[in-house]
Amino acid sequence: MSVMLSRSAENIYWMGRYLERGANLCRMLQVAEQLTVEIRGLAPDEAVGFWAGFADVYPGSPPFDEGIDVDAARMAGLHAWLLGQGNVLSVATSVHHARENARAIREYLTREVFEQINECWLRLDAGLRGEAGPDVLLGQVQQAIFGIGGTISRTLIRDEAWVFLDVGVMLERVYRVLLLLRHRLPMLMATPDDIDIPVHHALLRAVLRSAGSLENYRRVHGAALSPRQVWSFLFFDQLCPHSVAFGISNMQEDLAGIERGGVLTDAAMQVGRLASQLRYEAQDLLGRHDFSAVCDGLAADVDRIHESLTRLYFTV
Amino acid sequence: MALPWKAAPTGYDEALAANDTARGLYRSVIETLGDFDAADVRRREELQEVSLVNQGITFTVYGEEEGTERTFPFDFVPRIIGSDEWESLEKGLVQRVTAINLFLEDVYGDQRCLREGVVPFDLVLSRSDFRRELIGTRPRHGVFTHITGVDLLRGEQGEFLVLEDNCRCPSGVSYVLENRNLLSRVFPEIFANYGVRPVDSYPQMLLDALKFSAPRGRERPSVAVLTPGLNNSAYFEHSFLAREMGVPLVEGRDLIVENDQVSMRTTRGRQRVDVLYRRVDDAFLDPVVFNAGSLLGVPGLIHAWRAGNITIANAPGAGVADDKSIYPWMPDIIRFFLDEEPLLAQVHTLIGRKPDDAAYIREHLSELVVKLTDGAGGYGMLVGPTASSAEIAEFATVFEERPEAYIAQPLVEFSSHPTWTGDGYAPRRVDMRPFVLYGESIRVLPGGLTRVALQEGSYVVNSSQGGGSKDTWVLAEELLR
Repeated sequence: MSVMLSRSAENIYWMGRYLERGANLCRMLQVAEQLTVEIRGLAPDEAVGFWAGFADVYPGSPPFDEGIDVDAARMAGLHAWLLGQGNVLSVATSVHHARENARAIREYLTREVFEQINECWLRLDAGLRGEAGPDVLLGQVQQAIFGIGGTISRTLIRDEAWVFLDVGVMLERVYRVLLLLRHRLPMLMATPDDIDIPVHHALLRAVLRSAGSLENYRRVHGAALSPRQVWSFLFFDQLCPHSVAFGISNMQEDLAGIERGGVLTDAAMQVGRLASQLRYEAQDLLGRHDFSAVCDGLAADVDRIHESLTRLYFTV
Repeated sequence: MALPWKAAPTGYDEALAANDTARGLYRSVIETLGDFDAADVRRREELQEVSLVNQGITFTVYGEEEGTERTFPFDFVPRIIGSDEWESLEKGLVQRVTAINLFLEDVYGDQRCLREGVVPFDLVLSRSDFRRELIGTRPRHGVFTHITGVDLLRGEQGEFLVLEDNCRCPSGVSYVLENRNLLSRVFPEIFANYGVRPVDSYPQMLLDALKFSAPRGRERPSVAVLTPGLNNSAYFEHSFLAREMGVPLVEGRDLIVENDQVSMRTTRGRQRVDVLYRRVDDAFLDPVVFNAGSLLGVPGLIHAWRAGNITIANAPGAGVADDKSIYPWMPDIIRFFLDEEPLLAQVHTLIGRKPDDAAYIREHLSELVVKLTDGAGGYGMLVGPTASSAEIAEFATVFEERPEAYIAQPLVEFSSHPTWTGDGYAPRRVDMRPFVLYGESIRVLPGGLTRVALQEGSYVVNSSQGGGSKDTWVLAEELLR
């Protein structure tokens, strides 16, 4: 198929975004589950706060009830973020949207990819009908989403559809990592004298795991954990697949593949500027003390890239 | 323990003779299935169902919760047609589709068959699917129905009868291909002694026919499938055909007409479309010409088609040929245009617009099958012999309001076929829709959609009303052994 409909490009882009969102949410839920076990005896408020913090990474979702205990927070979190009860930014909603996108562009997908997405949705649908509890379902759905990623990687042809899919995946990933860091790191950077080191480290590990990068971080930096090191790694490491630099660099390559007649598009220029900034201005950025503003600025840039893509390719 | 096979108590049983023994073509398949006990069969049936659900091979049900998707139940006992019988059936189908296209070319052209009284003038002109706006339009090569689905029954002696023609957007071919795929995976053993003609060349046959129909001078025509969208009941099929042919699946909003040229909105700007395989009804194709409120259509599309800049398959206006009130004249149409006797018989039909026929229908509702001339999917019909007296009385009132909108046929005791019921095999009624493609020549897919009425005693095979489907085998030669 030599031409790609704008509507199809938009659908496959969003399919990528929704699948990535579902994967991110599953991972964050797994991390929250584990963190709850680790620190509930030491710092129950921190555990509840971690569940409540989902709403910061996914703005627009309903706020968490205040004053609930750890177990209530855990169950409310699983129900809201996995099954989407009262929450449109959940794993279930993301996978449902991804499936609808996939149905709209089935001619671009392999049979295997569609089947995996469909099966993943059917699992969640069973959960929504009360046939499986969220704690059991979480692991199954996470595996299913990983399976989709693997099948996409192994079976889809690397054509224009692939580019839009990958741009969607990368853009969603970068955006959520920025929001994750923006809301989880600042309080860990402000280290009071009476800091509880085990809890502090557990929270830092949770940030890295939430970004799917704990083991990768250890391979580069060993066991030493510091908020600034985590910042540096998740921003600038060119090899870690969940770092901002990696995602932007991938998008740069993707967009180069679909430039029109060699003319640099707005989106490609915006991505290029970001890639240069992350590559050549790392030290300046790391020296800044307004970490939240840095994250907000980059997230706004990513938003603009999304708008440019929409204007350039999806609304022809 | 081997499960029993019982022949149908009434009508023709395709697989079993009256003494419950297998007919020749069916011996091997029945013998092989005899090796499975009920538990084996149920396990394989579950695999079938899971496979259909996981692959999303579904149709959307209207009138229920929005977007309800259902699988089309699949019965694994295949229907088998021998090569000789298929050959004569094929000839009849080619003859019929040839005549249908000559008829359409004529009613939108010289109207010779109307002037000479072969078909009543006012009947054709009063059909809702006759498009006056299109008079004087001749599609490329004079072909209106690039894809035709002809619904067939077997009568009481096993002879094929045409029940109706589908000249607009006949659906179901995706199930023909998927059923074969499914059966060969779940019950591979039953293929052992048969040379079954493959059906998977259909997408290529279709693409060839569509490309052949492209406007003059388009060397590498671009083809697209036009769908109403995700919520259409046949969306799976639209998407399936686009994928299998390797062409884009477009919706009306993806297309734009400028200077009578039709283009798709793509990531690289607008790209011309040469052939549109539309799965959208005429009324919704172009809000400028037909239904002004349609959001599914493309403004200016019909004008571009009339200008010869795009092929629409099937051509707009083709629906008049499958109107149920034109059907009774089809044998005369064949004789008039081809100077041949019809090779395929059809069901005797009474026409509500004829006063004598209407009177007969009125008095014999309990014996007849009465259908709306522009109805489909089994809706708006009465099956008199199985209806209650209250249903007949209610229908009589509706009929009286517009008798001209109905036709009626005697209930054909059409054929049955062994079908799995969950704990054994029992006869269930079946029809068949072969698919006929009109490109450089007329070609018939060796197979077809066999629909089966899954309820005991039922005559209704429609997917929307409890029907299922079967794999249809056309044999390359009678039997390998």
